[in-house]
Amino acid sequence: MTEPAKSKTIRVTVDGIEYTRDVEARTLLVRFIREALNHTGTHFGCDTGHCGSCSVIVDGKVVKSCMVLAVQADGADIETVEGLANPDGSLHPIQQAFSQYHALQCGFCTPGVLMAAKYLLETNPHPNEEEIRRGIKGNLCRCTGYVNIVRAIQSLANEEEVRV
Amino acid sequence: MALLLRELEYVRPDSLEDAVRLLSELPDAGLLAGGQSLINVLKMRIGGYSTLIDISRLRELKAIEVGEKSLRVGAGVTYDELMHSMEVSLHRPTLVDVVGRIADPQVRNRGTLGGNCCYNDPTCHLPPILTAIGTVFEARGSHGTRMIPASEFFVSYYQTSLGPGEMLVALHVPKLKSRSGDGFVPLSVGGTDVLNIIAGAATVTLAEEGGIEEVVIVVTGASERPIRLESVEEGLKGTAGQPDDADRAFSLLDLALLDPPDDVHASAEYRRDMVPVFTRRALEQAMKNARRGIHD
Amino acid sequence: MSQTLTEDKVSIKTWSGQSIPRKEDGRLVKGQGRFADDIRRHHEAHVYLLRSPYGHARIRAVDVSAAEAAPGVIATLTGAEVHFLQKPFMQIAPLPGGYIEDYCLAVDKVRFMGEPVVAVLAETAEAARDAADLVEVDYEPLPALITGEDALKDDGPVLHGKVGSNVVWHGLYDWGSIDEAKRKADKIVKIDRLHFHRFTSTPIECNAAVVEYYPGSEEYTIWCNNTMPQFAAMFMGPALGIPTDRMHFITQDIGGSFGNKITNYVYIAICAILAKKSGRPVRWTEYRTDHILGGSHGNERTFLDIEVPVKNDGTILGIDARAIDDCGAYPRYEPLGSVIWSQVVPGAYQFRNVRVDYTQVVTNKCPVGPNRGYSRLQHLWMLERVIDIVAHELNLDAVAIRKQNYIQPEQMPYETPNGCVYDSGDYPRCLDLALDLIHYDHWRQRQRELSGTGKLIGIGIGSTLDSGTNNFGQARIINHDLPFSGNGEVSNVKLDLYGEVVVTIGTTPQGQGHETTAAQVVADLLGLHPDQVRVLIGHDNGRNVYTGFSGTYASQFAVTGLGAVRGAALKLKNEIELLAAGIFGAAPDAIELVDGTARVKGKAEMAIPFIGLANIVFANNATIPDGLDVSLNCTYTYRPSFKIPDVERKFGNLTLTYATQIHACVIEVDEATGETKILEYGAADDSGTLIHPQIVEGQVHGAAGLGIGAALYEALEYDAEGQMISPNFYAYKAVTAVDVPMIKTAAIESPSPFSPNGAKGMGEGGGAPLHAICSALQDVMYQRTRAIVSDSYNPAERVYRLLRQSETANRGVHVIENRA
Repeated sequence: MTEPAKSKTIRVTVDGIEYTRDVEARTLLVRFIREALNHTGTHFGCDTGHCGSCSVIVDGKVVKSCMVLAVQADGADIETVEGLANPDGSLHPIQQAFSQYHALQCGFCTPGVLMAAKYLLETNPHPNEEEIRRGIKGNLCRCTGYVNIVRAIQSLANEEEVRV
Repeated sequence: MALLLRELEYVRPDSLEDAVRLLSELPDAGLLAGGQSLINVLKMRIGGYSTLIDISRLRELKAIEVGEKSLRVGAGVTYDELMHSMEVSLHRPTLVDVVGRIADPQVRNRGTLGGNCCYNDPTCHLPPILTAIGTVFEARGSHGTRMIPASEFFVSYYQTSLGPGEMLVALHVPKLKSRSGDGFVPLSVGGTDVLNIIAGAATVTLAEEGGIEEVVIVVTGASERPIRLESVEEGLKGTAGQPDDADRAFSLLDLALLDPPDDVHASAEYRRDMVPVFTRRALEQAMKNARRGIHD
Repeated sequence: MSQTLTEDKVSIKTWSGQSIPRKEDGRLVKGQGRFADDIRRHHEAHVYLLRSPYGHARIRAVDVSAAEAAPGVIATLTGAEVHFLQKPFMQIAPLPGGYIEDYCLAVDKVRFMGEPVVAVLAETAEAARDAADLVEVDYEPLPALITGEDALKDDGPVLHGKVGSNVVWHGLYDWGSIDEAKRKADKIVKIDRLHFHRFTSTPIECNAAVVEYYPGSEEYTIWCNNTMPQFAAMFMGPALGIPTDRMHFITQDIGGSFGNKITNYVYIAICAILAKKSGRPVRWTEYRTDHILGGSHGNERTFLDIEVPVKNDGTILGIDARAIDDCGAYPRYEPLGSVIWSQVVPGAYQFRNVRVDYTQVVTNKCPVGPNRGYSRLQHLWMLERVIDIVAHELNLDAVAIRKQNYIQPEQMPYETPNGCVYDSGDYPRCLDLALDLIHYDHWRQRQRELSGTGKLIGIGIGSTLDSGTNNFGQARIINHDLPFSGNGEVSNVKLDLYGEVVVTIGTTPQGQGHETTAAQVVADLLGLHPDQVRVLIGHDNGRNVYTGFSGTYASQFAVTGLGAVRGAALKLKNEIELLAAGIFGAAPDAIELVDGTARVKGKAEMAIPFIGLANIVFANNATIPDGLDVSLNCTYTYRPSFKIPDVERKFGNLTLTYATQIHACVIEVDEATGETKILEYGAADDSGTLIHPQIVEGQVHGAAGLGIGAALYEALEYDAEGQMISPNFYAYKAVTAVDVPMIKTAAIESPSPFSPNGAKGMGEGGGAPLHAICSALQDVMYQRTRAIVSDSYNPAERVYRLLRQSETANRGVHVIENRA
């Protein structure tokens, strides 16, 4: 594409399903996911890229989807919280750990925290406490004081074999 | 403020050449790289651009090349890519440390070196350290390429010396010399490295016997642009860099140089008080790193 | 969870008391929760609110013509129209404070930055936002009123002309005899001023609503995240002329509230008006900046002229103080906070003479609303500041003075000077536990060793009570004419057509795990596994299970919510037993409920599964045993036993339960910068009988996290012109994972004698970290300049200043020897 345009047809894969949609250039990826695709599992909690609730993994990298234009994600493979569990509905180990350690209360920030945690463990399978805290510092949680979130991630970091 | 931007046009050129051409041709066009600051500006609907030229996928901006005396780092290299660059960790390790502190993993996966520098927010990490280590900025416009030293690149709040139609394509980062070390110590709000109230940066080269041969000390957050503490540098040169040398040198600090802002994060007075604290900590870190170099 | 089958008998531990996996988690970790902004309605339209850029200004003119002509715009709404369409919202304050007129959009003046001025409804959110840029508002800026103290000055602006002053409410609280206490005291410690700052819990989910109007039945369906929907209905009904039964509130998953979502009815009212005006479902999405500017803030309170009569041995005899509470531009839930603090008049302490001259005022700032620890934390913080200052000024040990003045366990239940009854607790033991968590002795030793080295260690304690289950009769202390008293919650427990066990509650949980704990309680009573109990999500008055108090606030679910669930489950159990007894010709007390079956004890063959019982009642009722009147659909309202307080003496039992939280911390302060680092943090809590210990511990963590943020990083600040300077997460530094330490916890259980299950409300945390961190900073200051930590907000710069305060400066503290 070499001519400027107000909208564009994009093709993205979200949680394994490919979508082709016309999208306005000004549409943020988070709004594309929530409004155009109606995948409401990905949340937003601020308007400045601080809360991390909208975190998704784009081509293997965790990003805040409110800080990316949907048109920029053209061609991308996007993972959201809704694709974390196994196809049979059983939970991903990170989801399991979050439940087991009571790492969520209201559950609103959780989709973003889970994606940040998944990325953290993919890039650093055995993080120590400080690395865990730095790994999720782009995600705000107002319920847990982060204590059980850190513990849940620690429970996976300490395993000999971490499969994420 | 909302997640609702003004209507805008978008274009993603396939080459750097096209990007430069579009930038000079299109009225009111801006470059979109990682977008980790620009997208927020667009959300605020203050200023911003009516056309965005997406340069985030241009391979020409992604290269990290090792030259004889310096590294040429593409402006489109993300923080995360820089953190994982063997070349940079070998030749200017402090940059790896500094970008590793920026904001959070999500921001580091998108944000670019060029974006950080061109945004030139006084709370950003890179302007002070890049200034201290003598980075040269390579800009390209329709009239060709221009090299701009850091001391001229950062002009004022959110302003650089890039002209209309000109884009930053690469940073030329001097390789760390032997017996040298860098330091970077920010006072950041809440310790999260999203916003730096003050940031001190320093680079030191020691003489063989261990005294200070060359030193550059820079601070941001104390003025509209990164500023060098030249009087302190002069006071340190030739000394052994011991605490009382530093005491004497910092007593030469020209407070009149400082014109810090007064905002919700800190008063101007506090910022002024913090300048010697954080620049000195940066110096100490640089000295430590330089001495480690000697022992290696 | 073990379940042992022995022959015919099932012996089972109770599910209550176990930390079972939460029922809510399954959907929430999969992104399948349904939050207010996830609701989509066919043909929905989107509202965008244009907000005031000024703190205080007269609206000269509003021109919406360009906006109305913009593409996609369906309708606009201005204050002038609202003035016709809405009566002012009810005021809780008596006259003249009650003269305040509060509309959903600013009518003649704007009184805070961010106050909504014009609503634009359009086909898309983008179109509404774009059109809002075309609205022209002509403002005449007025001088702004920013501090509570300034609000009381004679020559300043008056926000609400009809009131005649900026005072919302004033009252003198006077119990015991403070004057006599002052005569008896050895010393009087005077503290000039303590300031509790403005902050907010600001949940990550902002407010949101979708409102749909059906002209056929004149009914509004309101999907939202309001956490006290029937309170909202009571405000919206008279204001909009809608009978409360025509407002169908539906809440589902709510992304945190901490009280902040109670007052969003103002915004829901805008949506309701637009829904009727446009005939379209109206969807409103609030963003963070909107929320911080115009959502709800915590109360800011200034304490002046504090006088504390003390004996030389450290016995505190009482407190005399003036309090000025700043509720922002409109009171809304206020001035209830002006009495709610008095649930904890003496805090954890024994003194019995208290006089507080209390004034609440309006200022040009965002309206306040309940915020975790609501109104009590300000007062408890002041008390803890007093304790530390008295201890240091009298050279007494901070631990010893607390233990000496604490109400002792053998005094429980304890009636406070204003007639509140502390139900149970062991404060000294909780303090010991908290001190153990932070290795108190070790750090005191380290502190002495480090003395003079430039390393500054401070140790602090925050003692708090978490009062739960309000007696709404306390509102009458504010306004004698208010017809409110007591409290209550409703639950329905039923069998559905095929015997499914379904629980409905009137509450609006936001992470407190109501579905799980309710299932535990029901499972225990009906002989089921909690997985066999379905608890419906959220509040829905279409389910016909609510009182006017329904919701989730003020730490009461474990008492009122579970009290109602228990009552309803017991009724259902009773019906099941009657029905099974009728079927088998047995006595009802011979029936037992085991694993979804009702059976005659000892006779395995005489058993009927719940599906069989349901079939008889719902689809086969010619077979109901003669004379039995059973519905298998049982509703119960739990009402705590409360009386109306004595409004003249401001005396009575204002709350049912008092959980304890004692926090302790060790900090290190960087002398060069004033930065505070928390080295150890411990919280000991006593929430009575625990239904789900892990959930309770999670609440302790959460309250600690927010409190640490508030103490060190989070402040809502305005400049002198009324511009908010912290309207987003750049400037409002919400605490992150790297800002808080691992919070250690310990718990004891002192069952409440007053609640149905021994549990106590908890979850507020009483602002304990503010107390503990200020206490630790004070400990640091007494090693240096003896500066007084007089503000609850202590970012690095403030600590830096305190460390440099001149030793000859007026510290604002004076110890007067009593010569009488």
